[in-house]
Amino acid sequence: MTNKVTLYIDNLSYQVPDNINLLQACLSLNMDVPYFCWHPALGSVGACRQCAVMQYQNEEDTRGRLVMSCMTPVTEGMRISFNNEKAHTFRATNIEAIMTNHPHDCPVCEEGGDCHLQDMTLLSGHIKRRYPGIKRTHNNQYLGPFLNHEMNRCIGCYRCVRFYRDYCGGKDLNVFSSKNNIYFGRTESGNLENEFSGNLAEVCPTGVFTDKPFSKHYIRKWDLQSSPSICTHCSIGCNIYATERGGIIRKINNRLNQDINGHFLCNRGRFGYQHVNHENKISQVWSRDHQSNKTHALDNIHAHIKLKKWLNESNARIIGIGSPRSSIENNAALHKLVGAHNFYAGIAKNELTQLNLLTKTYESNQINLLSLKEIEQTDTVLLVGEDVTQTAPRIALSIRQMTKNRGINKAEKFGIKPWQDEALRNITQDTKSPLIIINTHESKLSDVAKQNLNLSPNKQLILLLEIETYLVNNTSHCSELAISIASDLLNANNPAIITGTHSFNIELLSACLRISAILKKQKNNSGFYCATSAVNTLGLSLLCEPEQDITHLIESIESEPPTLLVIMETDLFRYFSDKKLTTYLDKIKHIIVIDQLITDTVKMADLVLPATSFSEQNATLINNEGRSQRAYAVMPANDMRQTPYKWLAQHNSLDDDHKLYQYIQSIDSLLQPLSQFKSINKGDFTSARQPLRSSARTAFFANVDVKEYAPICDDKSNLTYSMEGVSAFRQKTLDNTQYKITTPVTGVWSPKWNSSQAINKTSLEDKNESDLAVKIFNTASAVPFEIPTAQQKTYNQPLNTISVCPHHHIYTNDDLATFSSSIGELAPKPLIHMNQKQANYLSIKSGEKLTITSNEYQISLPCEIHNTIADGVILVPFIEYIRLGTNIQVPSNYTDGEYDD
Amino acid sequence: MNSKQKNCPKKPLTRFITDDDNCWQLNQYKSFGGYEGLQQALTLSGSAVLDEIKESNLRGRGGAGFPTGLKWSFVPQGDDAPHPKYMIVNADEMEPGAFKDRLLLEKTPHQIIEGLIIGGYTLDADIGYIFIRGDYYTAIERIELALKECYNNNLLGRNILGSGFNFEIHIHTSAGRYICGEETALINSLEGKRANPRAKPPFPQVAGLWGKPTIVNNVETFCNLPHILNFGATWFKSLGRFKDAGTKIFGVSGRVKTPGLWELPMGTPIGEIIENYAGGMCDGYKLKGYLPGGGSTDFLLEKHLDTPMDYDEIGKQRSRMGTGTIIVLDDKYCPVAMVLNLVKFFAQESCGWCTPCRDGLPWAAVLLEKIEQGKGELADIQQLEDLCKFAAPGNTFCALAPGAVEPLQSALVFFRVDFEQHIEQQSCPYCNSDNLEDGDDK
Repeated sequence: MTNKVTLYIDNLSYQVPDNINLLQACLSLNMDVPYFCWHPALGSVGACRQCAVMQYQNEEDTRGRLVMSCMTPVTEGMRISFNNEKAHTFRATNIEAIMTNHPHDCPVCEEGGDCHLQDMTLLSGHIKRRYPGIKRTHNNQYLGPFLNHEMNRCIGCYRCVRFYRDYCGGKDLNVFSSKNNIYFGRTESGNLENEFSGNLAEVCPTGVFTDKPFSKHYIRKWDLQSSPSICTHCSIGCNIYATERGGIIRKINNRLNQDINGHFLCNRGRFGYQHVNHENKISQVWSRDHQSNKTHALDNIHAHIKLKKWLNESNARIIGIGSPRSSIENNAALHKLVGAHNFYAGIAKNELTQLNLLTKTYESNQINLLSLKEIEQTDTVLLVGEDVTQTAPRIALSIRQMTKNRGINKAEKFGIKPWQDEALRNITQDTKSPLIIINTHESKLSDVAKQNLNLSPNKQLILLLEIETYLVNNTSHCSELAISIASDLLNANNPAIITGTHSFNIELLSACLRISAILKKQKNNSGFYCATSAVNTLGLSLLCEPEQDITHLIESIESEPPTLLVIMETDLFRYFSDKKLTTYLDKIKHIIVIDQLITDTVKMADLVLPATSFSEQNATLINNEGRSQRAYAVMPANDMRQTPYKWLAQHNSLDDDHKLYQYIQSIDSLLQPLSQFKSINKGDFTSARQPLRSSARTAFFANVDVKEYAPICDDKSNLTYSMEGVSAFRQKTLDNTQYKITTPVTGVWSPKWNSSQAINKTSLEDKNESDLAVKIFNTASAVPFEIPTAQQKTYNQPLNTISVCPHHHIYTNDDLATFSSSIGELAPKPLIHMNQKQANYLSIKSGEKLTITSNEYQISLPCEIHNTIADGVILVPFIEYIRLGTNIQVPSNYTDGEYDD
Repeated sequence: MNSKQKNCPKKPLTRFITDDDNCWQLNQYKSFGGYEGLQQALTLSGSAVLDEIKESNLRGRGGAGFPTGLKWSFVPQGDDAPHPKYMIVNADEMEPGAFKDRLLLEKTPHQIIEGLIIGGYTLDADIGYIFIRGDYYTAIERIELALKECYNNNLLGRNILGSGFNFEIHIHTSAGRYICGEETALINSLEGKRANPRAKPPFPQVAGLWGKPTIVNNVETFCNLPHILNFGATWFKSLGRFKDAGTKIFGVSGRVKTPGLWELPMGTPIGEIIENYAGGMCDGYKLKGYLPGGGSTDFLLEKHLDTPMDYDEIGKQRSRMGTGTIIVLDDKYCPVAMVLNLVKFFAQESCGWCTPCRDGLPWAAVLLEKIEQGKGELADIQQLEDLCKFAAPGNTFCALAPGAVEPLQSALVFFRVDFEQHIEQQSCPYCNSDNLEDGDDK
């Protein structure tokens, strides 16, 4: 808990929390204190000197002393002046000095209108240039598909390198040279390697790093329409602002949610949106005529007639496939249409079993479910079986911050606060909170790990079981390694177990859950976090029984082909081999696919209903920690696209929101909290998706028609598709307690603060968007559940078998993101990875092809050697791993020999 | 401690320097009483040695003049103190006009090493570093050999001279940045990081190199330690002619008859140094002003010549003693050109961290260049004054920029006429008055 202190600013008294610096205090009091090098997540370093204020010893002191507010802790009774003339002159000269080398290219700079430097320059009163010299110039670099580089605009705030290196652990961006010639870039042109590089576009206070995909369809900030949304590219549910103009999604900005993403998004989340604008998006209803073997467009009415006919055929057997990347509403509508027994989740068999285990454990309240913010506050993390840096990267960033906690505690003894970044790092040096990683290979978190244990899945399990045994009995039969890890967990105040479903290893997951449960009994502050595959995977799993997965679906089709298969936003070809799937789908009379993009599954359909993208629908999504979040459409649905639940509304008798949400609640009691989304309180005011009226956006379609058409009405939220309504977070200054859920903020803006830095102008309490979310796992009412113990046979498997494991990659794991050209550019070539020992054993050399087969699928890919991969492990690309399914075999002639373990 | 019945020297720092080329070697050093101070120290407890240093009133010779004993007393002591602790000799002498450390480094490497070992013993430190300017080839070579001699003679390593005290010394040659003279930038550099100064607190005494307690002092400061231990604090205090204790190596450069270095008592008046030791101005040149303590100190004038070279006394005249190496400006050299040269140097040496230094100094350099080239406007003088205020102490991250504008701000006061003449005449009034070759041969 923080206490409040009283401070006097220009002789007026204010109350602020005592754990912040003076700059943050002033900003939260809505004062326009200019700054550059400070960032709420990166702390203070005192480099730019822009936030200077006059500090006085006491009431009698009239002389004062200039201090940098970002470097000054607030103390009880402190007296400062912001308006003091000397302080003002200093700030004015400072910005004049900063601007000596800055080009006058605002009109052609993409940061213009969204530029912290522009805002601060105006705030500080610098309007005339006195510096008579020549500006220094730099060469720019190619930094990959995500960012432009224009070093001449650099003002030397050092935020980029502090973010990239100190916060994200990146190595390939640095500051070079010295004096006023400092250069922020790479040693040579090339792709920025870090998964969070895209944030530099927001971290940079001016236009040095700008969003490159945005450049390709650039629009000024004031011409963008924006709404609060949820990132759909992994299971975390990061909060974003989607921005649009002319039916095209232009860029994704971070939306601050302190509990989840904080200030930063991963590159997949920031740049994965381009599927919305993709040329393969479906914009009308397509119907296949089997006689002529041709496809033709249908209008709305005929589409529904066809749908109705197929649904009502005599002897109709209808099966539906729900989607883990689609909303609860859409999945529930399909669930109602086909009936609970005929509803299958587009989730792999093993993952659905894992999800079932997770939700039951979460409901039983045996473990503490963590948020990303809480992960950052833990002091020991055991990360098991999941390369979160690739599957759900934002978690990795939080884990990286966690490792700093021991250093923060150390610095506290020197009186150094966590935000005193530079001092903190000098004291911390190599001190790190323990992070122990158990996985098949090293990851991008390995550099901050105390231990990287690269083990085959079986050995991972044995180690976990030993840890479990030790935690229960304290026996000395365990290996030293197990004892040391268990001791780390026991020595911690709030240890966390973090894992994911991407290993598809149910035993490993249940071991993690049991360890968490045991830890919780001993340490109430311990916690657990599990990444799942997609944004609504956990939500979808609540709509089905454990056997309603995609493998059981195929079995069901095989045993009794349905007359109608309705596939919603699921590309079955990501799960099965072409041959196998085509055989099964051919047995079905009618296939309806509701999807956004032309996938291989869509090509098999008899009727294609165009679905809205995340940017065109209001949706409720439940993330991996059971946080149900609301995403809002940023634009009306294009062409014939409709939100899937609307396509089905005529046929499933859920024709209004009230009925829909009532049905959702009836499926599972955990979904009760979603009831608050059913009635939209249009309230006394609306929020505008578009910014202030000062723009020329009404001229956008003037080449087509000079009339300004009435904006499309959004009856599902109190946001407008126009400038009418309260803009940005100005409304936060209103007393909005009674509108908690229904007043989302559509952007970040504050008077005089046009860049996203305006987020720092809100009061500290107001910053959180988490009031738009509801956690479904209620700790108050626990449903008893016993986490299954390990089955003897599994870990007694012979150790010398070769395990084929999935290899994840941030830019290939998510199917929608792969439609983004910028992301596609960085997608790695599909390869099989193993260590040298393994390669020797298989008599295979780097670059040679290895063939791996399963019951119905075969892959043949070149090999690459990585010696951090565990013995006995062969890594295959995630997509191929899924298609391989069960019974994977490395050709038998290899496995004959004794494997030297 | 009582002053021993020894032949107490008047010029302790240079007493080992003879005409013999090998006077820097261990045997010669010892023959003049070298390492007696260390032996004396080893008979005492660390805290007793620290008390002696405090008692001596020794002030840091790097320029700031901070009392050495006080600085050292902030280092955590006792059994639960963090280890290793580090002692660092700042031998990265790069102040314009300063060449005093070079003399000590080349001629008396053992004196420095002895001082460093005493320092290490005082604070129970484990490792010493000599952070030396990379261009001081001779000094580097000699220190490396001297260190070898020490290791071979049990003056370094484990159980030094049977005392049970262990101490290692490493030499680190600097890559050549002025900012490394700033102790926290030096520490960053030693850690392999950019030589940017660090935020304080924490001070290096509690969290310095690798986050451990660290002391950084100038070469000359360390050189005083053996003598304080050897001859006592009372003797040391008696050396000074004014308030400050001990002697100091003073230097004079510029158009004086015999520029050079001399070990003189603290408090020796400036005029005496210039007249008696540097031989006064060269024929045909008059004294116009001088920087009393190197390139980053304010100008003083003829009227200040009576001021004793004493930290506080020079401070009263609104300048600083700095390194005690006086740079003389004569009446035929353009003061604007001199200031431009200095500001350019400091702008070049800015680490690039904070705005007033990184962008303010080059701006000042541009304005000075403009004036010197005869393109100046009167408004430029105002801008220069603004920039001096802009880079005032407290406004910047470290002391580089405030030091850098010291000669400029005082020149704008004392030599304002020269600035105005440049602007009025639209040319440098000194352009034909001087023949640089003449004066520079000394």
